[in-house]
Amino acid sequence: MVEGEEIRIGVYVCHCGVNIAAVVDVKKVAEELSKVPNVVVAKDYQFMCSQPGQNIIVEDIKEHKLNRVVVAACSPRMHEPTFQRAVERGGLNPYLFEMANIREHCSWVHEKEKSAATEKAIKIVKAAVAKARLLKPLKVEKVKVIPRALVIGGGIAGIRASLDIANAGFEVHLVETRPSIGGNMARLDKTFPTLDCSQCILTPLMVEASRHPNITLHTYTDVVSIDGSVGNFKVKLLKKPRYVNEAKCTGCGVCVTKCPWTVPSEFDLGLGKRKAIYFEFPQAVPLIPVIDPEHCMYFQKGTCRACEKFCPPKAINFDQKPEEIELEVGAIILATGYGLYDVAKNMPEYGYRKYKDVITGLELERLVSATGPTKGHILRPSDGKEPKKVAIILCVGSRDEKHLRFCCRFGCVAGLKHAYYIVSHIPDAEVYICYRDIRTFGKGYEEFYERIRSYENVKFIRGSPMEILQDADGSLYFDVFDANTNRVVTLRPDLIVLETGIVPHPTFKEVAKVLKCSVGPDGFALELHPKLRPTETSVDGVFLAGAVQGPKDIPDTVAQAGAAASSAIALMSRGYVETIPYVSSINEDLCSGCGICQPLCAFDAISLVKKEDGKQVAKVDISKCKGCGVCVAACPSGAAQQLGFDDEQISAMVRTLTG
Amino acid sequence: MRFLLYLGCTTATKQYGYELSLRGTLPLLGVELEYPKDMNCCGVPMKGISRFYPYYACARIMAIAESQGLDIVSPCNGCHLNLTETIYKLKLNPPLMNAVNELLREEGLRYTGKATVYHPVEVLHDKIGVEKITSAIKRKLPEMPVSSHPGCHLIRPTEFPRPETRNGPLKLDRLIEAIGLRARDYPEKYECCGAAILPYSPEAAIRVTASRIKKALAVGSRAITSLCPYCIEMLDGKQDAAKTITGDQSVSIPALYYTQLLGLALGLDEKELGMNLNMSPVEVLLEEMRV
Ligand code: SF4
Ligand code: SF4
Repeated sequence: MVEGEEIRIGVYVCHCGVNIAAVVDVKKVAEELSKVPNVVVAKDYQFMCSQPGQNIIVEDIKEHKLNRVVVAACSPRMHEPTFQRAVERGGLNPYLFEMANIREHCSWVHEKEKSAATEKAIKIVKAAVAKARLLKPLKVEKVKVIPRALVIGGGIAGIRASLDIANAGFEVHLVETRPSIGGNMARLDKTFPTLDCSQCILTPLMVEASRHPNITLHTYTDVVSIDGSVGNFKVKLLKKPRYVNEAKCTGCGVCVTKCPWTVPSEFDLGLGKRKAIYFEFPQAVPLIPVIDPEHCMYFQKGTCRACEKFCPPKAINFDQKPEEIELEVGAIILATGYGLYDVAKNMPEYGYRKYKDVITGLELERLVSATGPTKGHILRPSDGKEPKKVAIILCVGSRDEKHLRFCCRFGCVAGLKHAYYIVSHIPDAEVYICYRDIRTFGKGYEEFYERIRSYENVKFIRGSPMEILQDADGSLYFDVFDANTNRVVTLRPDLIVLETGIVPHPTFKEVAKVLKCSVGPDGFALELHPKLRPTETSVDGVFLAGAVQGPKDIPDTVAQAGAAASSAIALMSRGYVETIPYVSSINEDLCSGCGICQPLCAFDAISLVKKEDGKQVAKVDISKCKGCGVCVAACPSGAAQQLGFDDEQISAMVRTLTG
Repeated sequence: MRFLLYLGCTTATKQYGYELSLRGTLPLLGVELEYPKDMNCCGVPMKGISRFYPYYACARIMAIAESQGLDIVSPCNGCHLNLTETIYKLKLNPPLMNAVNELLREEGLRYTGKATVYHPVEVLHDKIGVEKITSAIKRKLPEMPVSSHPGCHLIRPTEFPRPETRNGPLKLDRLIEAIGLRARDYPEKYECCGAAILPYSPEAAIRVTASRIKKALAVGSRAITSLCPYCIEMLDGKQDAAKTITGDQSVSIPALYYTQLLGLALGLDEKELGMNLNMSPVEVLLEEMRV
């Protein structure tokens, strides 16, 4: 478009089937608009977003030499890009297009006032035309994407995503806060519904991740800060000291055998013991031990050093310091996983932590695991005896408006699997499953339910227990109202297993804060769209894998990890990102350098700089600016303007609407 | 410290021992009790018929207290909950407050939210304090195990502020220890006493009561105590029925108000505390205490 050229506008009024046309007289709108100055052509059409609808625009641009286009239709959220592309095909800059919303803003809310709705629609479209006259072409810039990804969280989601990205040929840095990767899945004995050994399917992936030439593992490492934006994130990590030289250590484990100090093991959820120097678990990756200084005799009392004395390759190093690592990455995958709901604190009626024989499902997994504290024998914690009667309680904390409103999405099937553990280890045991509903929606889950339901010694009670109580003889008992038989049943089990609800992993809160990504009311990461964009976040270039986004079983977690990886791969293999054209722009002549805008920007896009003549002005980093307009509204000098929404354009619309 | 004593129906018509022991003990600990001249039911029995009426009934009680510049002490767990709920709901709901005051205006009464309500457990534990109670003791009671039965509404529902919570030791148990006795836990301590289903299913209700007593006996408790007239009506008054219905003669334990135990420690005579009105074998306890 040449400066000073005559403005020629095309206006297109969409029927949206009957959504608009049943209320608004679209013909009249087109007719009225054709009388507006600069409007060269005004038409109505049944579906403007359809291919023929778009073609009308493309052809009219050529035929009528249009240089501005207005479509009066739905909300710009869905179809603004559609029409912008059409305008571009017609040979115009895509930002010489304006959309007027006469559906959500008009026909849908004025169903009963047709003629008034038509009047309103005319005004809305006229306002859009007023703005269209003042539109200027905008530029989209391309910013290079660093072909390297960061994956936060080394559970099955993080491992799977890392492997997928690495296999596509990109470099990956996988960060895990614990000493080993593996996450919660490493704690499981078997996985439902196929009952294959969890370690047997997980360990090969862990080893593959550690050996992959494109993957760098950062275990026992926390994320400290993340700056920058899509394509160019600057990440700071803090590697906690293991007090073991990783290059020298052979993983022989002599140090662990020699260490005289034992403490409860985190991996075994306190049911088993570990030493002050320990491997997270026998199949840990990397197989390098960690000294826990809080329980190490040397750190506490200055004596011992047994591990150092006996370590064959002399790998112990008590002077190791935390190490800062800086990285630049183009994409980030969040895979921080989940933690268990704090039942001990929030639901005292279940007696968890008060009574030793009330355990969680995850704790039962450790009892059943061959490498667990009881070497794979199901023995109850209080006296080490084999339980003959076991109660499994589903939905503990889940689907409860006083606790967690949502379903954990694996507790039911996990509970069925736990019943299987009990009856397969202790054939004469009786199992009672207390449930509210059994939800077995996944592939093969209903069949698994049928199988467990057919066991004679597994009984199903439809009801949640009242309080779990301890009798004078130490035995545990509770009443439960069975809604299927309309009776109160008193159960006196030897062991009670709680299928607890789940919450986001405690580390997620900090990461979300650092990244400024949206968090849902349940505390999990908020996806960009619950159906259509489930792996994306409110921050471009940051993707979600697994339970960080919400409760998930392993198949769903792995599927989403693959999806997140492919989003990251798509971003990196395209190699560039386009900037948003609607960024804030500062008129340096008007800017007084007051700095009001700077702290208001939620995306850290504004800095204050000194010009050559010594004058201080605000400067917008367009790779960070999201075009939210906060600085524009705040600027007392009118120096900050949002491109595509400048004061002049908005005033023209307001004048038209109110005039 | 002065309060208006709002007894509620159960205490005023059946549980005289509670009233006597409250009136006997609280003044010894520096609490003056005013007796209201004009009172009404808290409205709980009408709850199933009218959602509005209980708010009006409770607001009237609170308005009378407010007109005298006093707060209420309500010894019944049920009244106390209903009064608390009313205070809470009226504060959040100005139109409801207006509707209630519209009716109160006829009598020249008005409730603004100034007056509030306390349960005896709060007066004893929060206002007077365990130290003061311990130092006021006149008669040393033997260190015998006693179980408390707080009663549902001292703790539940959690939507409204309740005098006791389950996160930590009960105030009632601290008060038991304050007079030299040992508070002993037992499994069904926090469960319903059975009174809630007594009108509809008396046999089931009494089985529930029997179960609570047996659990307290099983842990070696020598007495069971409460500050709720319904709980004591069941635990104290239904032991004979419990023996008949369960066929178990061992369902027998001294059951009495905490204020009766407190009165004994403060040197009051058992008659002054209404202990001749208890139906459970309190004489066994008195016997042991004299030793
Ligand atoms: S452009 Fe919008 S209003 Fe028109 S048909 Fe498509 S969806 Fe409906
Ligand atoms: S608020 Fe406006 S004047 Fe102040 S520094 Fe920012 S752009 Fe400049």
